[in-house]
Amino acid sequence: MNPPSRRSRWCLSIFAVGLLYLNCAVIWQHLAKRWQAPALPISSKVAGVFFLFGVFANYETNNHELVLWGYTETTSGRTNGWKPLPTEEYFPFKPGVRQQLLWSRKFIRVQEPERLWRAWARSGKQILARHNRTHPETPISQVALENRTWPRSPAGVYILQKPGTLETNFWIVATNR
Amino acid sequence: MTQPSCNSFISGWNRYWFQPTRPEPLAVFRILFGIYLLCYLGSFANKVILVFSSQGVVQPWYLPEWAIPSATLAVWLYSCLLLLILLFILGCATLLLTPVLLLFYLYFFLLNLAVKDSAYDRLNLIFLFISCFAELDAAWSLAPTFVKHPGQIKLITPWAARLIGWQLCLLYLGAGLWKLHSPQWHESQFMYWTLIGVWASELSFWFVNLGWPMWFYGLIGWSVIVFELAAPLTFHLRSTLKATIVLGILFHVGIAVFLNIPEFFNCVAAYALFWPPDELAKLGDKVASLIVKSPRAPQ
Repeated sequence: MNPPSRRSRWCLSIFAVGLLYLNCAVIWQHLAKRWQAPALPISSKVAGVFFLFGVFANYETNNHELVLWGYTETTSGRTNGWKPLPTEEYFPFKPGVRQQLLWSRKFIRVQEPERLWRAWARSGKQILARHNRTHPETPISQVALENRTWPRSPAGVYILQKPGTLETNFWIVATNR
Repeated sequence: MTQPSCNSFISGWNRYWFQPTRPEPLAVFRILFGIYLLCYLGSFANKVILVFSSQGVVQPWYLPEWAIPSATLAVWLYSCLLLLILLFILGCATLLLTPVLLLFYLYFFLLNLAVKDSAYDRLNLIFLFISCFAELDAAWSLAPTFVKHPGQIKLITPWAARLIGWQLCLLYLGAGLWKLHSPQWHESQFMYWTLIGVWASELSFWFVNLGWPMWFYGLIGWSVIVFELAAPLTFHLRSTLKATIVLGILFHVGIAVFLNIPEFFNCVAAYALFWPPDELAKLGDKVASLIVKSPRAPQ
C-alpha cells in the first residue's frame, strides 16, 4: 500500500483528536456539573450527538405510558365520545421504542417544551388523518394523549394499572372541529 | 517539551495510527456491522410507509416538509438503503459507497428516528462517518483487487480501526463514569426496578420472580459499572482481551434478552477491531477453506 501522505496524516490526526476531544468533553461535562468544575468548551448541539451513555439513568419505581385517544361522535357511554386508539397501529414498535416516539423523547432531553408540543400536535394531526383514511366508518375529529403512571410490579407490567394506583393526565393534541 | 521528546511523540503517534497493518479486523467489522445494520434497518421493512412517508406518522428532526417522501418514494429510498447495506457487507467500492450509505442513513434518521433519541442510532452514524475514510474492502470483499488476488495481503492504515475502537471504549467509559456518579446506580434496588419496567421482557419478569436477594441485583449493577470502567484498558491488553470480549457479548446479550434492546450489538461488531490481525486472518482462512479451496500466496 502507499502510506498516507504527510498532509493526509495531518488531516486524519486532526479528525481523530477532534473526535476523541468531543467524546471526552461530553463525559467531562457531566462530571464537571457534579464537581462544580469548569466544563470543556463544546456546543450543546454537538454534545447531544456524542451523549451516548445516559441510558437508564433514573431510578424509577413507576411505569409511564402515553396512550392515544380519538374523539368520535359515534361512541356512547362513559368515555363521552372518546375511544382508545390502538397505539401500535401508528407506532408499530416494541413498547419501549413506541413510548420513545410517542413521548418525542429528543425534545424532552434537550428541554424544548414548545417544540415538544408542536411535535405532539403534528403527530396528532397525522394520526387523525391516517385514522380517518383507514377507518372511514368511524371517523374521529380530535386526538388526545393520555399519560398513565402506575407502580411497577414483578407480577407484570400492567398488573397495578388500575383505579387507585393509576394516575392520568389528558391532553388534546389535534382537532379539526 | 524538548525536540527529541517531540520527535519521539510524533513518531509514536504515526506508528500507532498509520503504520500499515493487516486488513482483516476492519473487514470483519465491515461484515458484522453491515449484518447488524441490515437486521436493524431491515426490521422496518413491513412498516416503511407508516414510519417513513407522508402517509404515516413521522416526526422529522431538522428536516423540511418537502423532504418527507410520498409512500412510493419512501419505498424506493428504503430499498436503496437496504441495497447499499448489502453492497457494504460485500465490500463493493466501499470508499464511494460508505458515504452514500451514511447519507441515506442520516436521511432516515432525521426523518423519524432522531426524535426517539436512541444512542445506538447516533453511534451507528459515528461508526459510518469514520468508515467513510477507511479501507474496508482490502480483505474478504468483492473489491476487484481482492477478488483477483485473494492470497495477496494488502496492508492498510489502522487509523479507522483504532478510532472506532476508541469511540467504543469512550462510550463504555462514559457510561461507567455516569453510573459511578449516579447514586441511584449504587442502590441494589435500581437493577431490580429496571428489570420490571416497560422495557423488560417476559424473561426478565421470570428471572425477577425467581426471588433473588437484593444484594444480587446490586452485584449485577456494580459488575456493569466495573466492566464499563475497565473496558478501555482491558480491550487493549492481550492478556484480558478475550475475557473482555466474552463478558461484553454476555453484557449485550443480557441487554437484548432482558430489556429487549438488541440494537446495541453494534458495539459487539466493533470488538473484531481489537482482535490480533494474524489470528483473525488464520480464522478467516479456515472459514474460507471450508467454503472454497484456494491456494494462499506465500508472504
